[in-house]
Amino acid sequence: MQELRAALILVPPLLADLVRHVAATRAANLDITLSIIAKIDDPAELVDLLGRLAPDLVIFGPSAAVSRATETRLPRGTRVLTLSADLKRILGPDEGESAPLTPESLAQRLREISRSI
Amino acid sequence: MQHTDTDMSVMLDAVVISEVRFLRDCLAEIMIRVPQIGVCRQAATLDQAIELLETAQPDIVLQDVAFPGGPETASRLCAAGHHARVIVLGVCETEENVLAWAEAGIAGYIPNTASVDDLVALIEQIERGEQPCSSRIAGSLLRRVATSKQVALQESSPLTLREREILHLVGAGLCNKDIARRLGISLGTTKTHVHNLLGKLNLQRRAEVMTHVHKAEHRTALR
Repeated sequence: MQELRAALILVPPLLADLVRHVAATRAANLDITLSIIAKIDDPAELVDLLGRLAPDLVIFGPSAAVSRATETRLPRGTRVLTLSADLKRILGPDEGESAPLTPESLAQRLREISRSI
Repeated sequence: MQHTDTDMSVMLDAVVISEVRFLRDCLAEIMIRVPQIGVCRQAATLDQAIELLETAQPDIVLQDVAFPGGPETASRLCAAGHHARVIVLGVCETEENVLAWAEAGIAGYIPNTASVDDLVALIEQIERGEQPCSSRIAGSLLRRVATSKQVALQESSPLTLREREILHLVGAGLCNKDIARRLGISLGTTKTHVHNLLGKLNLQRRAEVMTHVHKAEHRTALR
């Protein structure tokens, strides 16, 4: 099992839990352990916390304006996934990459990211 | 509703209604974790939901708070769902919001701050007829019920607004001349109103009006 250390940024509580419970279960079936190492709801703390925690992956909640502004200040090498505002698509990790958001597609993205780090 | 072969306990059928597939897929998986829920179906549109309510006759409908139509949709689901209990997921717990959903006829709500564990526990509680909420929300609901009752009483009264006004002044012991002066109307008009309200209430004398008003006030105080 490969561990993927992720931070959830501005992800509402229930949505964060659904990612944790459902997507992580799917990821486990793909031999990936998704560890949520932080859940950050205060934009002011983002850069400092992410700098110290150095997660492999950052998942932004449906608050795209904040995520785009912050993305440029993340530690080098941090992969970024963004849940679209209507929660229908998952954006990233590469620029312009987008797919319908389902538990399976999220798990698939996690696998791709774990292979690339 | 189904009975299991092993223990004959009642298993409930649920439907998750959301336009967002990710939420539907995840919630359907989570709902199955509620011990009493046996089956969880999904609907992405109101038409699909209403069709499911008619064909599958679920016991619980979990409506995403962001589903188009909001409380109006919940009201339609309540009407179409026969015995189905509509639970709204993700409600921002302000008085205004909760009252709007309550008036739509929902059985309960899951606040937008809930976790998955909270969700499972809350559905179980709502199934038992309980709804955890803050004392502020409970106070608002009580005030709304009281106001609705008063409005219903007023609407069911045979008296006009002016007649009700005069009824209370007669009940307070004022004579026609004082009532006319208080309301700024003529003595003749006052007498006509008093005559009409006596007729509508099937009363003969002013003393009976006073008794009628006192009894009505006593009933209101007891409610």
